[in-house]
Amino acid sequence: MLFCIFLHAYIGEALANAFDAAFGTDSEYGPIDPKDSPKPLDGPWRHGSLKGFAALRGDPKQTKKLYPACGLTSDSQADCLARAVPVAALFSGTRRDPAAAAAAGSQDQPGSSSSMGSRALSDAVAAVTRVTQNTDVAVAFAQAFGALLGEVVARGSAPLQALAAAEKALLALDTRGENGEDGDSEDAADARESARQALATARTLASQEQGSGSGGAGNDQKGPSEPFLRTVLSYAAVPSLSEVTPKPIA
Amino acid sequence: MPHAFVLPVALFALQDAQGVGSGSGAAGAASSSSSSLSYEEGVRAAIRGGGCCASRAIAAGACLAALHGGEAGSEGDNAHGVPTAWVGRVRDGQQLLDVAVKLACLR
Repeated sequence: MLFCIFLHAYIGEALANAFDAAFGTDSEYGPIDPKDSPKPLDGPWRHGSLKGFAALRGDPKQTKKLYPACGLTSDSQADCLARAVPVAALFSGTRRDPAAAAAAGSQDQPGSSSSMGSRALSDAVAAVTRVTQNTDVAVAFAQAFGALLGEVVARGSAPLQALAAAEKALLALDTRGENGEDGDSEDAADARESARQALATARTLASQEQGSGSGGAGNDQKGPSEPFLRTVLSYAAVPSLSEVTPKPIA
Repeated sequence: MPHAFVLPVALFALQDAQGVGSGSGAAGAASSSSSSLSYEEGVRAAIRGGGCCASRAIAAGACLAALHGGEAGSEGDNAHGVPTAWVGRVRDGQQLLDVAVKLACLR
C-alpha cells in the first residue's frame, strides 16, 4: 500500500513536470492569458485546469508546488475526463478481443464487475487527475469515465453493459475501508455516488430512448431522436439531475 | 460536473439502442449499423451542447472511437471511425494516434 502511494506520487510529479514542459508559462503556450483577453486567442489554447496548474506551478513568487499540491483544489470541471483516456488505454489495451477475454476467465467477460485490474486503473486515474485537479469530484468522475472506457476497450462490452459495470466499479471502491485497507473521506464517497448517479442517469436516458422506439436497431433514423437530444443537451446547462430517476443496477 | 458528464456518456449509451452490440469493442466497426452515431456525429453533438464543450467532446470521441475502432479507412471501410481529414488537421495527429496504439500495447 505504501509502495503504491509512493509510486503514484512519483508518477504524479513526473506528469506535472511533463505538463510544465509542454504547457507551462515557459513553454510555447507562453504566459497565462487574462480572462478578458479577446477571443479566439491568437495562438495555442489551454483548457481551464491546465491554465490553473500552469499559473500555480509557475508562480515565481511562490515555492514550486509539488504533486499533488500543484493541482487546483477548487476545480471540478470536465477536463478530468481527458486525463482518464490514456490511462484507460494503458490499463485496458491488451484484451480487445472478446474471445481472448472469454478464454482468460469469467472475470473478463463483458460487463463483469470490478477486478484488481479495474481498481488499479481507478487508482492510476486518481493519481493523474490530481496533477491539475486536486478535488474529490474531479477524481470520482474521471474514475467513472476511466472504468467505462476500460470496459469497452478491455472487454468489448456493449455501451449499456459498460455503464452498469462502471457503476459497480465505483461501488467497489467504497468497500476499501471495510476490508482493512485505507478508506478515504466521506467527501470522496459522496463524489463517487454523484458520479455513479450520473452514469445511471445516462443509462436511463438511453434506455428510455430505446424503449420509445426512436433509436432502436433496425430503425432507419440517423442518430438520436430530437426529444432525446433536447433532454440530454439540457444537462449541459442544467446542473440538476432530479428530473430523471436512475434505475437500480441489474 | 454531473451535467457535463451525462451528455457524452448518454450519447455513447444510446449506441446500444442503435445496433452496436456486445463484443463490438475497438475492432468492431463492422458491427455498427447505419443508424448509429459516427465519431464525427457524436463529437459534433457533444460540442453543440455548449458550455465546457472541449472536454465533453473529448469524452464522447474517446467512447465512440473505442466502440467503432480507430481512424476511418484504417480498418476496412470504417465510416464510423475518426475521420482521416480530422487527423490530418491536428498537428502531429498521426503521431498522436501511433502513440495511443503503442500505449494500448504496453501492458
